Amino acid sequence: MQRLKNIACIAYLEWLSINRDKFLSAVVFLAVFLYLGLFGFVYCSGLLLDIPVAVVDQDHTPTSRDVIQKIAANDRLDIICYPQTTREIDQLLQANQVRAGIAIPENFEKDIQSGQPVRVSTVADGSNLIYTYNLRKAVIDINRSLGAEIMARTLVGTGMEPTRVENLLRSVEFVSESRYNPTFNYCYFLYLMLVVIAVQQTCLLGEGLTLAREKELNTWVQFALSPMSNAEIFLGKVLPYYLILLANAGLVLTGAYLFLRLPMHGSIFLLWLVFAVFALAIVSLGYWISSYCNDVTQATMIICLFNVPMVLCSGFTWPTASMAPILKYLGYLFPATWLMHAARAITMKAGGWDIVGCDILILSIMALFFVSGAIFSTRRLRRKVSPGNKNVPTSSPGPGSTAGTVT
Amino acid sequence: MTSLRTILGIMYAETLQLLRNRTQAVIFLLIPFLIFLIIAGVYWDQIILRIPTVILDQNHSSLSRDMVEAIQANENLEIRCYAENYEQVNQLLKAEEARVAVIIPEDFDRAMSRGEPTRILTIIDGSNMIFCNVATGAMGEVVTDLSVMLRANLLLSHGLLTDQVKKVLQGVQFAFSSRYNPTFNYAYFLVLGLGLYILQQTYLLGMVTAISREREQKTWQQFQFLPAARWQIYVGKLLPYLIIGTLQAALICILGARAFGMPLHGQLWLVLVSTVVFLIAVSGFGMLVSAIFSRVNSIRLAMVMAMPSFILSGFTWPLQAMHPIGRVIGECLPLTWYLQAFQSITMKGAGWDVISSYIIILLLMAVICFSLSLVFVDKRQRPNSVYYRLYALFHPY
Repeated sequence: MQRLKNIACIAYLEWLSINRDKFLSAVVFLAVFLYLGLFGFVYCSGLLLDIPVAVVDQDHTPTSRDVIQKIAANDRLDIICYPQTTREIDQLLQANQVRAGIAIPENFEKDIQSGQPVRVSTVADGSNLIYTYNLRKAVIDINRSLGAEIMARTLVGTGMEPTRVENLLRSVEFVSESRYNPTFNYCYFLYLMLVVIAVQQTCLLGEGLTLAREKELNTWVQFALSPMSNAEIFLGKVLPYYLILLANAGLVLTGAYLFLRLPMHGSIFLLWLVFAVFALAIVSLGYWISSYCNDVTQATMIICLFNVPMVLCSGFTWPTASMAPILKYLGYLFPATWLMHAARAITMKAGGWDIVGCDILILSIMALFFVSGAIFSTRRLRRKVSPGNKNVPTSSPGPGSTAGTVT
Repeated sequence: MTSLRTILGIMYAETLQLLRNRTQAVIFLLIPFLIFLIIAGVYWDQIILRIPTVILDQNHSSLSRDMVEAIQANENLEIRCYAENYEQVNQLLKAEEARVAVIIPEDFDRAMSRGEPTRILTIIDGSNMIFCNVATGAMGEVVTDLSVMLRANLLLSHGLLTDQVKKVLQGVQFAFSSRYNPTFNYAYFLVLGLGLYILQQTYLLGMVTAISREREQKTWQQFQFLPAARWQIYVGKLLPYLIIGTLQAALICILGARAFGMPLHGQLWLVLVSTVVFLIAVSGFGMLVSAIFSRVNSIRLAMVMAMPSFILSGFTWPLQAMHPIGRVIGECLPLTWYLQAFQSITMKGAGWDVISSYIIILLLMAVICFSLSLVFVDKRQRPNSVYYRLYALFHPY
């Protein structure tokens, strides 16, 4: 009972110091929502539509106009100009005014009628692959529907009955399905990762400072010399952050579900469990890091700078198998890797225990490791200021002593 | 001449300050390279090959085997296993042991020979768009080749002559080529941009402490007794960071081009000019933050503000597809215009006619941020008039 009271006391103190530092409380409480609001505005559509393209029609016949109509009807493409020559397309591409140029060659209609092979060439901007892939999809769609149409016309031309032609064309059908994300929505793909970056960064920004701050203000000694156990100090200090992290994550995911229509196919309980274990790992990690940092500035910088490479290493976007051999296993060391894997499996693939059990196990082992590391580092820090140590400040700080007496 | 000497003196003092704090010096000087190496290492293969594929062949005919061979021949796909039933396919996809599944129906060859409709289903894991994009493309190629072959067989068996079949199948082809990046190389697309984004972060970290540090160590007053105009102090404080930052950007580009084969076309002086202007604009923002907040808070604010800049910059997800609010915020960031200019120069070989507008926008941002930071910089010590500050800019304290 006394132990619980101790923990609650420290937690309350930490809560007060979060609230006292206006900037910190803004970071801890608001930054997550700021980030995710911003990211929401970025990815809210999730689909890339109306890509600006230029079409060069060198044929000017009903058939070529028909093709242009097909291009215009595709909702991924938006024809913004009709240059005269393909050279102009190059200039437009270079100036980022269009992202693709489609050129219909001369004698287009004549060649189709005489059964000559015809090539409509599409040049897409490869500098941003998101554009390129979407353009390719659009072109494949147009190609397919146009090809079938022309094929049907030629077959009818050979004297075949239209119904038979239709059957023939339908006989081989390749159907492609994008499982879990049928509309190729980028928001579904990336938003979860951004949630994890934002939650983790803001939590570490708060938590990573807890000991650094005490050390900087010289108030650490009050904890060090108190009769409380290492575990109590640790638990009390991380408790507020733990709860804030869980609350933030919960609110953000609910918001994403409600406003961005993020899929949520699996069990919410399982998702919550994964986040709970992850949060424990990350707050203990933050506490541990902060025990090594001498001042707040240092801790902040290190935490912020390594967030992005950490997420890139996780294999959430670029697959682990295609990374440099040294980095392949680096991602396995970060809790975020396992969290993101499990969260995606649960939300998008309705994965159950059989799929995410392994992730939860690894996260628990990590959490255990970080918690014990954090507790040991508390012990190490306390030893530094224990009465037996010669580096102890001269005036013995009791419960009533001020922070200023310690140098 | 004296003014130059004053600036040099302040520069020297600032460089010493920067190097004295060892942690900060390491963060400022070395971390961008370290992180750049990590990023380049992440995109090591540059192209995704051998995507795990599972085949459910319910037909087991020579025709279906032809199809499996065609898939095997594609370098982007690798057949990992053959499933027994549909359940197993689902399980493999869910457990991410396969990213692509091809299902050949039971009556495939019979239906083909009779000319009855039959469908071959390809399932691609859409949860990771990178896999999805590459696999869709690869399967598209396989399917196009196959369908031509299958249709040719079909038409021949329906009594058409070879010439007729040729005519029918040739039809129209949409040839698709990707300019500037023909192999769909992800590393070309992302690595240098991410590297420069990290450089922006470390540069900003150095910059935001420039004034707040002086204020915290109570050395800011010393500048007031220097026989130097305010602009000289700013220029002197800015130059060491600017020079180091530009050198770092150059090194990152050279490292990327030489060690990792990134494309670096176009006129390099344009890259240099846009980098310098971009860094000045970022410094303006850094000085502004540094002038208003304490050191710790300015570091926090800079980090919190700069973190989402990459996503908002439109470098990956295009600005045109964002919500108008996101687009406006993105357009207010220097990084947006810099990365746009950088990409246009290095990948597309764009010249001054294209780049000039980006550089002008960056210059405008720099001017606005600097003027704002002048207004805020020593609010406490000076009368509150803007005119006075403008006057003071060109006169010693």
